[in-house]
Amino acid sequence: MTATLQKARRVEMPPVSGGMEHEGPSRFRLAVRAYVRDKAAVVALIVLVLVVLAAMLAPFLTPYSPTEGSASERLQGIGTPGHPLGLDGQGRDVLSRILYGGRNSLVAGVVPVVVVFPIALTIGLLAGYAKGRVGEVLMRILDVIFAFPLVLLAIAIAAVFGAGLGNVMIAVGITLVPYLARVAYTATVQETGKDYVEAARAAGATVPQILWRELLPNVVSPLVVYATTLCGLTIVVTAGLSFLGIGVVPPTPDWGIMTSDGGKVLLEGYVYLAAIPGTVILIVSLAFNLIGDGLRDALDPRKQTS
Amino acid sequence: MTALITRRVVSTLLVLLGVSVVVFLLVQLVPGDPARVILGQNATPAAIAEVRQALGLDKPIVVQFMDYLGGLLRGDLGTSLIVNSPVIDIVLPRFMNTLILAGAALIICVGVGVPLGLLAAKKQYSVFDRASMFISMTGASVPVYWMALLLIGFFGLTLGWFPTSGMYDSREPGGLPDLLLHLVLPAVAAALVPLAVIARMTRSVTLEVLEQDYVRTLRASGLPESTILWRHALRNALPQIVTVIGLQVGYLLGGVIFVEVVFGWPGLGGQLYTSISQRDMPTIQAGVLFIAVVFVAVNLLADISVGVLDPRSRKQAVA
Amino acid sequence: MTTPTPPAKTGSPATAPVLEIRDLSVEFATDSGTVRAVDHVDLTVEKGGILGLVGESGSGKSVTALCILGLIGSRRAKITSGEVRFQGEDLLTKTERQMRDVRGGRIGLVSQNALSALDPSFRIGDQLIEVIRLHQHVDKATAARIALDSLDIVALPDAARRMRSYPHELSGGQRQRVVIAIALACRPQLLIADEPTTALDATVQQQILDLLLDINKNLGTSMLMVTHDFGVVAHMCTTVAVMRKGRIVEQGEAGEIISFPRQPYTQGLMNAVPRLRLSETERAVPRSQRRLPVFVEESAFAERADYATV
Ligand SMILES: Nc1ncnc2c1ncn2[C@@H]1O[C@H](COP(=O)(O)OP(=O)(O)OP(=O)(O)O)[C@@H](O)[C@H]1O
Ligand SMILES: [Mg+2]
Repeated sequence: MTATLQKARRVEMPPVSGGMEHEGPSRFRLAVRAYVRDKAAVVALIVLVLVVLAAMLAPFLTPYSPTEGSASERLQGIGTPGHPLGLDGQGRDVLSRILYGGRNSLVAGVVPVVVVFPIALTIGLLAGYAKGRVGEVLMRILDVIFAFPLVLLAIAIAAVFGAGLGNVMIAVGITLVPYLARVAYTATVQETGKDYVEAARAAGATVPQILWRELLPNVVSPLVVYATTLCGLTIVVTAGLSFLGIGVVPPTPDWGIMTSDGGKVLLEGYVYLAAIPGTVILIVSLAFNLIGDGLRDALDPRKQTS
Repeated sequence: MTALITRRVVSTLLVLLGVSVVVFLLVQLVPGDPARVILGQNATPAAIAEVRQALGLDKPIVVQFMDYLGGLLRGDLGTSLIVNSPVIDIVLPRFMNTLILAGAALIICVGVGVPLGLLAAKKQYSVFDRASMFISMTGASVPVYWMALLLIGFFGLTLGWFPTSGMYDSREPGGLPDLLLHLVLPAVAAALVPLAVIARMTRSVTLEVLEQDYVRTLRASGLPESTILWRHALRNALPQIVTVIGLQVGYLLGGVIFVEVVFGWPGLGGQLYTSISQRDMPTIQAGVLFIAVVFVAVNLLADISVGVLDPRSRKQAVA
Repeated sequence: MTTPTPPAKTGSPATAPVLEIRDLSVEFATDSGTVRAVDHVDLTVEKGGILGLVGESGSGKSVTALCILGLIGSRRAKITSGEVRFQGEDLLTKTERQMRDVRGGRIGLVSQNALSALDPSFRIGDQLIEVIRLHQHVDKATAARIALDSLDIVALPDAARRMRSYPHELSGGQRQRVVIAIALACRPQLLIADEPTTALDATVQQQILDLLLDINKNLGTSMLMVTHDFGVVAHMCTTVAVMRKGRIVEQGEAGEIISFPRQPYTQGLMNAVPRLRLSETERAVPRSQRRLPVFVEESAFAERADYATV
């Protein structure tokens, strides 16, 4: 999350040539101002920060182990003394599992996006600048990947690699490459056609200079927006893989596994055990989507008014 | 028109070829010796050799692929490593069940999502608009497996309105009414996320259309707002809406996998889940392939409809 | 301010005017405060006459015209005063339902953007038939006949075949003829033409203006002709009203005003017509984001500062 924001910041710093320059407040200031005006995005950011802090500080927030419970105290409801969110089917404290589980679920959801980001950016930037045959071929290859629904591809690759936190992240990361690369490619093709790139070329800028100084800053911002929204999706998908038993291995706490465990006792009437972790996934995913929306508006020069 | 269709069909065939390559490569991706991984650590060398042969792993990779492709074209998807019967016999009936579920979900998505988006656009900034767009923003983030469980908990357990598992009543299967009753909850669960996205996209496309100059001509001609919205705005937004729907079918199919697992729906998703836990590679491959083919086919259909819907592209295709 | 003298059309019988706008004001709430786009405007369109509404870009002509039809489709717009009397009835007090009968039935509109004024997804004939059936309650065949008549009136070549064409298959001039045909299909008593020729090239412009003039002569349709081009006024208008920053600064018999403009602003409009047109790029800016443009030769009218309302 913080990584995405730092990227967003980097977008604003380099002076962008070609009519994008502003007199007065910097683009970064304008972006922040536009972002702050979007109340939903601000609330989402605060919620996300709180969730991340809670997961990081789990040992200080709860005295119980997330993996060990007492069989004598299983399936206690919400509001049980000492266990505000109750105890699960194996007598483990639900709140502890949510807090510790956040570490795995957040990492599994966000790390693939962050790791894949520069790779996809490079692919998209190079292919987009080369255009012509290279771009064509790349897009045809991507078409094949897009023939697989995202979730299906992630499931297939995870199934092949086998369960485990690392494998899930690799599976999801591989799945995301074409999605991010396409956004970077499209943005690059669009930007390459603009005057300021022509101007830089005419002024004798080398290809690396054009890519790095002129194109990169303008391609990164749509990609950051998209990546943020993608995090909302990957949180749901990676937890889903764990839900299916091809993600994090029990008894490691994870929101997806917790939902799945809850599902096993659902028919006995313990709906809350599935409802709680799923709700947390929903809140985090929604937060990412709202932040993505806020960033989109904030980085859109047309919506920045001083 | 025919030219347009031919072009689309040809490029779709190429994509399908690529899809078969990817599905084929899935086995190759298995880290280490796939046969050993599939059988586990204590497998006898004989058993491993047998699996290697069953998977064709002893031949050069290109030959393996040609064999695989040839098999596909003949409708031969290999033999299951677990139940020792042709994969196609396992997968085909499940495929039909998945189509029923996905079809029902799609009907809900389109039937609710598109009108919702249109109305929200019409009443832009109203309470209805804000509320429905907040709900669909949330809806787009919902984990489908969680939604499925909640639906079971509320409508299945608490209210007891709908059955919570399977396709037919196991004791007295009752034909179509029974099927429909079993279909409601899974279809709703699978529909929710794409429905939300379709509603949002429909809204923004419709807003764009309503700003066009010709809408003013229509208003100045005295047409009621409802006619302008449901006839003219919808008609002009339709190509883009259809494209969005085509893409959302991907999320829908992905969601169906989870829904089938949760509801015990005897479809491809449920089969995939079982096969994955059994490491039955040929069956996994077949399941992945079938779902991908459906998605590709839907998008071909969407592409062609968009061409048919837009008078401009229709003209070009003729010329 | 110059009180506009209701122009009595010389030689015509003293009939009641078709359209009388009295004291009309329209305000827009913008981010930077309220903008009064139309400021206590009085206008009169005589029966069978053509009133030219002239003014620089952003002076409020379109807003005035759309106000007649109740079509300033913006949440931020507010009519703060006045009445719009059409054949004796105040349109501003009518319900939305009643206004729908007026629009396209008794008042036709030909709008500014000829090229994008037709629905691209429907055939020309179907668009005409839809409007005709809406107002005249006839069966489809009759409506098709009326549609064909309308296309003949606007002299669309090969009208019968064109009924089955889509807008993109027509040239700009042809499209504008179709728009006029739709506006005329139900024989309205008043036609509002908002710069009907801006999007067209010069030769076609003349043809369309001549067509409108013919329609006025042959069908007796009264017209409100919005333009920034005094050439158009000279060519076809009986009366003229000059608008600036939301106000009518001069109004009267067309020939008289052209010969003896009392306001330097009017003089300026007559001299500087080509320079007053918005360039393509300026038109691309959404209307709501356009500022009230400063008149190019502002300094020449320094003494007219009392008209500056914003
Ligand atoms: N929807 C709106 N929101 C805010 N201001 C508006 C809106 N529509 C029009 N205006 C303002 O009202 C004023 C008059 O606009 P109008 O369109 O009537 O000008 P016009 O005389 O028709 O100019 P043109 O020759 O460019 O068509 C303009 O300054 C414009 O900025
Ligand atoms: Mg105008």
